[in-house]
Amino acid sequence: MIKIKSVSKSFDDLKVLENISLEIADGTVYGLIGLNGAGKTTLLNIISGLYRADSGEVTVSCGEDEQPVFDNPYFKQRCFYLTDDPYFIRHSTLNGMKEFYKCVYPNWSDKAFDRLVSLFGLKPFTRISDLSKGMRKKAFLILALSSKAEYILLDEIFDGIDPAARITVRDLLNEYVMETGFTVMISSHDLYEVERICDTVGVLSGRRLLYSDEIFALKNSVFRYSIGFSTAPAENYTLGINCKNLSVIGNVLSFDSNESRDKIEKTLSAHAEILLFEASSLTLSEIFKYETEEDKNEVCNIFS
Amino acid sequence: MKFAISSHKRFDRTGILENAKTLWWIPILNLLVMTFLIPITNRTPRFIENITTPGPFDLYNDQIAALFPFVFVILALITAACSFSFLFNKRHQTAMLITGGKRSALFISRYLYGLLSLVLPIIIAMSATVLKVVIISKPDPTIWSDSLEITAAMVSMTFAVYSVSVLVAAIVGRKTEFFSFGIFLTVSTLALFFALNNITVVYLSGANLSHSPDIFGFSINFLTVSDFLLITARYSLLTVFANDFIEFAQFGFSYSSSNPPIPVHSVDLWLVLLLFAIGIAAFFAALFAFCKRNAEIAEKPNACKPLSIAFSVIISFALASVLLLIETNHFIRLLIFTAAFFIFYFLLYGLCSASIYKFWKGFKAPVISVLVIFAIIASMFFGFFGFSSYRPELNEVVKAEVSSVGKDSFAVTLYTNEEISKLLKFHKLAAEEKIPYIRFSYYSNFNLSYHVKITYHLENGKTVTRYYRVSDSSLTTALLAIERDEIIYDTERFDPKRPMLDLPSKREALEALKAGMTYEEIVSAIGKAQGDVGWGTIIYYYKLIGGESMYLHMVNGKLSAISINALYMPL
Repeated sequence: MIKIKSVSKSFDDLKVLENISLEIADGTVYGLIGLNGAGKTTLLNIISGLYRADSGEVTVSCGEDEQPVFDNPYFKQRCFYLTDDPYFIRHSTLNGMKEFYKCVYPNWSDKAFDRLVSLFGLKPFTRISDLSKGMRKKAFLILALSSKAEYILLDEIFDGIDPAARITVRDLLNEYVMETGFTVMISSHDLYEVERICDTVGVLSGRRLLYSDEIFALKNSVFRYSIGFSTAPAENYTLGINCKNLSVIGNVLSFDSNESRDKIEKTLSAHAEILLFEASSLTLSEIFKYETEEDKNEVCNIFS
Repeated sequence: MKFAISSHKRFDRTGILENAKTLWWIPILNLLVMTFLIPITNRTPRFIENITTPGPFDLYNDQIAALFPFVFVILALITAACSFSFLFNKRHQTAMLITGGKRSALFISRYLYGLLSLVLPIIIAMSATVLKVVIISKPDPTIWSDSLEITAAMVSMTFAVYSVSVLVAAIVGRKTEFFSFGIFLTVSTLALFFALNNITVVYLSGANLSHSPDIFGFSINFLTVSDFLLITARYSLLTVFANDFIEFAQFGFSYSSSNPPIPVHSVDLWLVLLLFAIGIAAFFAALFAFCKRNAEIAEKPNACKPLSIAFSVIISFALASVLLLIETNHFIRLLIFTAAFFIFYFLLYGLCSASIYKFWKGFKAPVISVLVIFAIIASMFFGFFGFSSYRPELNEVVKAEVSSVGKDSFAVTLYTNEEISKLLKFHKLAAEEKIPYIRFSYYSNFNLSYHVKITYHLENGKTVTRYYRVSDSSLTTALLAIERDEIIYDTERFDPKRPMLDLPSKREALEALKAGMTYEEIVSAIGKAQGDVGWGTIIYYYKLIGGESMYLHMVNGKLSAISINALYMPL
């Protein structure tokens, strides 16, 4: 288990992370989502032991003990951090990099490597510098999964990968976690993929961690309500209810809210008779927008 | 579970592997350069007895040998830059820092790879050279000590420069800054000396100088950039063995045919130890900096602000001080210097910070620097603290010494109250004089400036030492005052183009002089001295009309001998 305790990080005068605390359980696929500049990559850099937190600490379970991840060889042998733009030795091939990483990771599996190379249809003796961005991502994912690292940190793994390969990546990561019981942490903007692959998710916004829990719980926290009234409703019916994306179409009032159904029903029924009450789940993307208040920056009448 | 790299290992396998794959060419390059530098072929026939025909590569001479130290510096910088190049690239750094062992292990692996890449080629090339000389000829027995000394000099210098370079690599984020600061650290002391010297010469002539006038073998005169480069080449910490290398290139291990042979080289072992000490200190500092390094500074400009500021201030200071030559008026000079300083600082720190915004934020540093410098200059120039004008009381002084470094150097010790009181008068004059720097064109024709050192030995056992820079005319007249108990301070009389003694020939001069004459009798005999009369313990100096120089040797104030040019005639 990786524990992040009250971590803060600044770059010069710019505060990037503030008092972040979360736990990443073993055997999970953890998705880290957030707006651009929210601090996802910085948090991954701290978790990987690359950056030192200004305050707080990140620890990893080592049997009964907990050890800090920073400059910890024990953790380095068990963690594969695949950055958005990974480094490779100049002129090296996929096979060359395999030899490099074989020296680093004690659980390295040549068998898995060969199977993965075959699965993605890559040639082991092609220079990595000659590969496209998506192909390079696949090559490094092969290296990451072949390392059999207990913790695999993936920064923007779906970026540049074609839709067909995304499905393969998704399935691979699921199988990796299920077969090995190891942990995968993904930072991504692709909420569609995160929703399908992750079982736990953390939302970073405004330097802080807004939410960190199972994706199931997150999806049950916010609903879209469509309420039909006997007469045309007014927007002020929702006063006292924490809601967003409010709209009135005919006699139907729609909005997103994380309030309980009972409270909403009670509040609205005081204004008019409710004929229809419907609550539907939001997609992760919609929940993310809700949580991060992205709707403040609506795009309208910009080019008119 | 098996462990590829255990945490207790001192060396990082990832670092070594990556080094071997990417930096295999570094030791080869170093070996090639050393094989060329350290004579291994017959291009230096003088190394081998009875071989007089020059070989095809007989290129060695002083000039090429003088490049030795610079080659060592450049190789050390390149090797350090390559061994720690990952620190200047975010992707590469990430790969190195999150894999393998502890940072300290990574550092030591990388450091040793670079150091061995530098040192082994030196040892191999030197061993091969010694072997060849031993096999082909019958070498002098000093070959062993000579080769060891030269090797120690080369290795210690390489070690020191390499370690300092690695330290710089550990604290900066960009390769350009690494090379700038690396070179800067090799010459910064001299850059500072250069600038302070020029400021001192321009503004503080007549006031005290805190260092010896003959520091670095140069009298303190205004230094041009070429002077500075010359000093750097001769006296930089990193070129301390330049003369040894030149001798080595010229004479090999021994040039003596005497029996027993005399060793050619005499490498100062204290310097070797000093350089090793610097190297070790830099190594530990670099190790500490590397382990504490914040990974986010890779590729970041101005990652080490104090170093950037020191670099910008000192180099700007040195460059601006050159412009002091432009004008003679002190205040205009000061304005030019200030403007130039800020312009140079703007450019240099701007380059370091790569951002005007950050530059402006960091502008307080040069402002404070300039204010401090001006405060020091002003306090010295106006004698605020009384240091430069301080003179002990006559009754406190047991004895005094006065000496000069310059064209006609002298040294005299004064014991009597009468003599010391005259010196105190001269001291007062010198301290108050504050003679401005003699204009450059004038100076270049006539070496007229003197540096006078006055030392008082006091009753309480303490000594008081002051340095002054005085013009020739005032020195002459003031020092004559010591001798004749009167102060002649008439600079109008001084004309260096004019013959000093109105005598038609040396024969007449000789005829006029007799042994045992006092100064007054000499003056009376040969006529009144008209100008450039030097002074010393036992020597009076006259320039005759024919251009010859006549020296009167005095013992206890009495004429004892005359020498004209190289001819010495006791009386």
